[in-house]
Amino acid sequence: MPEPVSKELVAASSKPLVLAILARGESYGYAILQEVRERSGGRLDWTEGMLYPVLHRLEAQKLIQARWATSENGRKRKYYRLSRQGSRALESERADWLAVDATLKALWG
Amino acid sequence: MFDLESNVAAWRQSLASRGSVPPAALDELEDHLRASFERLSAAPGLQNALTPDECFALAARRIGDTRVLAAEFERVDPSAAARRRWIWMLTGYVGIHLASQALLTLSVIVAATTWYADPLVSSAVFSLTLLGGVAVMIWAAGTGVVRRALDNVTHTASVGAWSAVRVMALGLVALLASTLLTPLGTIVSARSMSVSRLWSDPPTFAATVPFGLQLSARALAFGAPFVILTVLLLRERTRRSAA
Repeated sequence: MPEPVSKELVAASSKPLVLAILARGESYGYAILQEVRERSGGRLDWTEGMLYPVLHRLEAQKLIQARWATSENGRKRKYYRLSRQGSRALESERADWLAVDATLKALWG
Repeated sequence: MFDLESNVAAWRQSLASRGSVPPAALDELEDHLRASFERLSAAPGLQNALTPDECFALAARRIGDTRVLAAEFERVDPSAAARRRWIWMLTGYVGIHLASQALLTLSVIVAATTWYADPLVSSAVFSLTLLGGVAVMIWAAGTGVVRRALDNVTHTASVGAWSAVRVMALGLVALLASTLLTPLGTIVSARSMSVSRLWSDPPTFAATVPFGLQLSARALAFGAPFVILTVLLLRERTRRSAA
């Protein structure tokens, strides 16, 4: 098993990750976590519940929008999608993270 | 035999009792827990290795410690959590007082019907009715019957059960204080009660309890809940501003 990324970095990267996943289409909590796990090869290991305060905060900031619908197995489920404001926020997050990435790459060669 | 529903309900209750997770978020987290459980129970490699019980424990563990989670939710909207607690505290406090007054009146009326038969029997009937009522209230608070009934009416889905439990306890302390701190006054003597006119012949030993003691016990019983409530709220505010 690969070593998991530190908790601090997981927390810091939660916003761009959620925004990036929702930029690919509407989704819900459990599916978002599955996607993070798969795409990171298991290195980004979230305490699952912690995703929800993040989602609610982003919703309060109007970066994402939510709606309740009935899932395929008949349960009520909350689906999230990116708002226009969210797309802009994602762009600026992207610029920030690329800047960090570029700096580190330049230093590490 | 593993019962998914009761396990989910218990888990939900433990999270709800923290008081900071809004009902909609509880629904959402419950959906997550169920999805996670279903996936674990259906995983090909795990099907024979893990019991449903273990699958559930694992799903709950992955969601995380309910205390940490509730604290995180409180940070999302601190004022909402505080508002819910205040509303619960006030509702609970008023509710308990109304209930205890009704109980006291009922006890007096029941006792008054037997007064002429025998004052001692009447006193016993009075204390039994009162203590029985207190027992029912303790039972109702302990099993959460009242809270669930309120939830069904208001559809708040156990919002702020944290404070509901404390308020129930507070109200019971107030009630017990008024029953026990003025015992000699209320149980034995009819004179010390505001509704004493129902009891036409005051017992001769009514005066055995000094009036000053009766008065201070009454003041204490009446004032203590306010003092406790204020201290609790102040502590809560200090804790919140520290966090």
